[in-house]
Amino acid sequence: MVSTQRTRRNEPPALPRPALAVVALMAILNLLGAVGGALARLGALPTAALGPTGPDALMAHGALLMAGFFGTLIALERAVALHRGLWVPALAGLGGLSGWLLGAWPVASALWVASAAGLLGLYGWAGWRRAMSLPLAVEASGALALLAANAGFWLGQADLSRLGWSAFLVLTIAGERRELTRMVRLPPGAGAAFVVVWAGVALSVALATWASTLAFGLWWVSMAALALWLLRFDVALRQWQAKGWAGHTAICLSVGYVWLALGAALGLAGQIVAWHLVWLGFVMAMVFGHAPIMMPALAGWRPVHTRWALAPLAVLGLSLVLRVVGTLTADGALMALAGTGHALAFVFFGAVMIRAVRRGMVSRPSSR
Amino acid sequence: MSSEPTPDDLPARALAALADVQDPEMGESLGDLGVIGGIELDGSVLRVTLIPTSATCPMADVMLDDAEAALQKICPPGIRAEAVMDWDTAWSPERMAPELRERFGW
Repeated sequence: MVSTQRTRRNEPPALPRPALAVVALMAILNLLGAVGGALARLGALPTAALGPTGPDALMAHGALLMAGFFGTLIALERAVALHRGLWVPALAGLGGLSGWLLGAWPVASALWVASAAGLLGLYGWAGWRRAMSLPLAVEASGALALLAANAGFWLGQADLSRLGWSAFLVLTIAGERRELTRMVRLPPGAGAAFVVVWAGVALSVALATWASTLAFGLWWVSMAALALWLLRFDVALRQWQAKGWAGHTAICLSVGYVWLALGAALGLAGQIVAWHLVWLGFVMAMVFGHAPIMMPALAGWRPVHTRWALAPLAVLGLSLVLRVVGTLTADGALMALAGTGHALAFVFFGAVMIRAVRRGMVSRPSSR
Repeated sequence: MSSEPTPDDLPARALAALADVQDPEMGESLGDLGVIGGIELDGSVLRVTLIPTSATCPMADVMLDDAEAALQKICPPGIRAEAVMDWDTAWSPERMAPELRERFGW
């Protein structure tokens, strides 16, 4: 195949693959710290003096997942798309490593704030030099939510961090999906309904510091509305039969929307486990769905499609059911088992992807 | 390499070659999605211009690579394939193929 690192007539050169690999590795290390900290919290792994099950990873597991892993991953995708700004994901990755490896949380916070500001700048550049659109504005507002969340983490504002990080992920995904759903003819009012949901999410973040009860209520109402909107209108629900990875992506997305709806229902019922249905059920379904089609862009790998890639999604789903039951019944052993199931799903997915990539290398030996 | 290509029929052959190139996320061909803005033979360069549906999609380069690879297969010796994005033209659903438009409710 043709290298993606050549200079095209109307584009600056693509970012160098070795540098992308270093930043991607930082994202994975942040995920390691986040998952290790989570498993130690749930009692699935013993705590250690340091490392991914050490006190720093345990204390800041959520921050590592949101600002560390997703902050790095999503900014990396944007940097690759725009052929610039690799420092943005690099700072997010370094921030997480400063935190869980060195315990330097003020440094981590400062790097995360700088990275989020940089991500906002990348969206601004895209709107200015490429094309401004509603979906781009939605994604940019997600970066703004990340900035607020990271600042909140620095200042010890837990509600702002929780809502801001969650909004970062939800708005990034919602913006991407709204962009593709332009292909579908929407009924009157559907476009306006999406904007209302967007406003609800943004307002919930804005209210987090001053009126947290109202902010959380608004958040779950917005999640319920967003889930219904996506389940009703998203083009993914029409693409299950699409060829290759596109069908896999569509199925993962659709499953994720169901988890978002269930999470919203539990959230409205005041159940704390609702958050993990959003973060793991909804967001990780997006990760499982998009990973195979992102690999060619990020690494030049062309994984060969396999239906096995849906199996980890089922493992994740089963473990989430255990998580819900364990939380509702306050069964610590069940929650530890659920945490192990989450981690197994990640490892299983990684193994399936490695095999698919290796098969791709065999079938396309000239591929990079 | 295809047999007996001539520069004059390259644009038409290019359009057929691009029918096999898909958008990674949608699984639909670039032609059906209406993202092919134009094909031209500019000296020794066979150039296809794609109209992006997203300003921040990291898969855009993959589509450009795939389009170039498909075009290079039909190019006679001395002709180089090139795919570029046209950031000045907005994509709209009217550009999609009739069958796809129908499937998506238009």
